[in-house]
Amino acid sequence: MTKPDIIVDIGREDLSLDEIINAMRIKTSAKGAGAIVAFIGFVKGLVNGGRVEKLVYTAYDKYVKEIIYDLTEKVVEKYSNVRMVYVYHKIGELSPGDSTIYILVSAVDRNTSFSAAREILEAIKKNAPIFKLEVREDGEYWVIGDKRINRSELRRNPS
Amino acid sequence: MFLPKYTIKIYGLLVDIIGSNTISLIIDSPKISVSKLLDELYKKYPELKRLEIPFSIYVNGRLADDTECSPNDEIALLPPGSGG
Repeated sequence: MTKPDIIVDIGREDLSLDEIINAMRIKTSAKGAGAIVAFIGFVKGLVNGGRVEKLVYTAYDKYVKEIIYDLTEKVVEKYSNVRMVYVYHKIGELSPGDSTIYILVSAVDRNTSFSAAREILEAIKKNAPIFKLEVREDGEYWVIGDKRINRSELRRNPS
Repeated sequence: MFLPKYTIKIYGLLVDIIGSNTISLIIDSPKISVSKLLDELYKKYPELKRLEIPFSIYVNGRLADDTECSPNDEIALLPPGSGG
């Protein structure tokens, strides 16, 4: 079985999806692929009734790419029909509507592309060392799973 | 006599709690298990335990469960991720 190509990157810029999709089509069609699924996450402007001003993403900088690569590899090992995966996560300050993550999966069949893309996304959401601060009109919140922790309750009082 | 100093890089909400990007712990041992290191951290910063968040320790970029680490290792304490 041919090992699928996995590309992981972290950055502050948007991606040109056309370029990536074209490159993936050309690279993987000869390997039997015929379906690319592209997932793009973006910043919500409204959360729990509060208007979002921005999200600030930070990461375990030195190792985050390697860890996302390992998470992705672990998922695609289960799918013999995946031919290529491209994962790109943005960090820094993002405004509502800005893209946050891109996951593209090229596979032999559409079911594999959809399932693998979803599973890679879930693995990244749960286990990638990327941290999200939600800045809303009603306060600043660290997002931990489904929980939101108000930043003002955490700050250490200078002694 | 110099006692071993463990430097732990911290991320996300931990920076707000501690008020710095790193934690230093002086521990009278050249090696310590990750679980004991976490106990020492909770002893020094009981507010971390009160949050009831499952923090993880990474040693040299790898998630460490039951390994040992030394002051020369690159140690990081991470809150759960929230990417995507």
